[in-house]
Amino acid sequence: MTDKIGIINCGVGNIGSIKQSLKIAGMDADEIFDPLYISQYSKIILPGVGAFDHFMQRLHDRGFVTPILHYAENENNVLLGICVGMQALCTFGEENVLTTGLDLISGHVKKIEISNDLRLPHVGWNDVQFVKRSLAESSYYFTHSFSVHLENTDDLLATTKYGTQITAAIQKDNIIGVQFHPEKSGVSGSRFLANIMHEA
Amino acid sequence: MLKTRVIPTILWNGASSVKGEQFNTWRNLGPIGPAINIYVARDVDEIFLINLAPHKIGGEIDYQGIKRFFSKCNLPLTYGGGIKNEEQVERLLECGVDKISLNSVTYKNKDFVSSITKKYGSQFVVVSIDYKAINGKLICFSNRGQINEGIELTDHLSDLSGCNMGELMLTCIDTEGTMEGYETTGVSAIRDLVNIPIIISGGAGNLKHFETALVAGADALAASSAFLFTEITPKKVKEHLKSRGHEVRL
Repeated sequence: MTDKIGIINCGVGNIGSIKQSLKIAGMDADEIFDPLYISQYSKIILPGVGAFDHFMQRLHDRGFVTPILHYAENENNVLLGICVGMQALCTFGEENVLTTGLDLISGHVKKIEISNDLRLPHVGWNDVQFVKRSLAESSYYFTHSFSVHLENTDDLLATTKYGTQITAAIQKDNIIGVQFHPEKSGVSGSRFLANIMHEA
Repeated sequence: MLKTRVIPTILWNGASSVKGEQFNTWRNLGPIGPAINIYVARDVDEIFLINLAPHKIGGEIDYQGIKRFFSKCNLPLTYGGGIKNEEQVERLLECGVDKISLNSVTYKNKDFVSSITKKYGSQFVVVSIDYKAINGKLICFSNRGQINEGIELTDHLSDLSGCNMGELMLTCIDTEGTMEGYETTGVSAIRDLVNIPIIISGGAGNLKHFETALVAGADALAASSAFLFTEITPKKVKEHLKSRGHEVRL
């Protein structure tokens, strides 16, 4: 077992950015290419880019699904999903075709409903309000058209406002997900990653 | 509230960063690494890297170079230049690219645009359109402004309507690099035709220019010369916008 953070690399996502962002916060990280190594870590980040269905397919193809589920069962293990990596923690997603997720947090992922003059994707920096824990309220970088709808509001960690309230972060015990990109949110993003990894 | 983004654009000729005027007379500005580092240190909203000579090195996109620039950046990065097949997209993803910008390929292969947005999501694809005003019409150009596609801006957009791209970047070749202000009739003409964010580019030279474009309908403001050749910084632009009542990230 190592104290380092493991970042799952299934061929997408800016792993370098996450490493750099953690480094600024004084934390070291390894990339995990082989699912076998997941069990050696107690802090894992699951970054995700792309459409929900294609991302899940990638996790399946590379054999990550079962090891992640097994890892998550241990309450001392922290799992942080980022963007589509957060969406993948949920029960299912509606992007392209209805696809089953990891189902670690009950909820579904559907297209953001926008009103009047708003545009999709929701892209850019937006203010995040934490409802559960006192984490630094700041603006973070978002880029997505789909968002998480939780089954239990107890699992809501943060929201952002884009016309309506959008789920910005979720947490159920040791499982955490953020819709925004802390690794792309400069200095405040680094601070966020450090806090969430230290406190978790 | 979502903030108005101010985006520095870096033009790259495969060896160093460059800057032209009206897509011509490219000036060499030295290595690109320091340029990116400065914007990272300034904690800008987002960075666009446009490769003007994508196939100069070994006949392919310089993935190693891109990876070197991108891997240590903790801000959103978009890469554009020479993308025409999915294999390139996969490799760019591995290099750590957050978004890709497609331009010339959108005239030849619309199916490619749709297939990429389907697989990687709309948010991954920026369609970049370069145009010139000719006899009162806004005409699209591809290949760094060298090829007149003979199609009007609004018609090209309707052709792309099923492609599901996530953002549009509009660059007016006439004003690009002049620092005399953005051309805003383009953004006004298409504002109501699309419901995706529009990034305007080409011509900003003073603080007022940025707000004029915002009021004309742009969602995000890109600039290059203004940040290279004047004392204006992305932060100064945002302070100005804030003083005028717009939401920005400072």
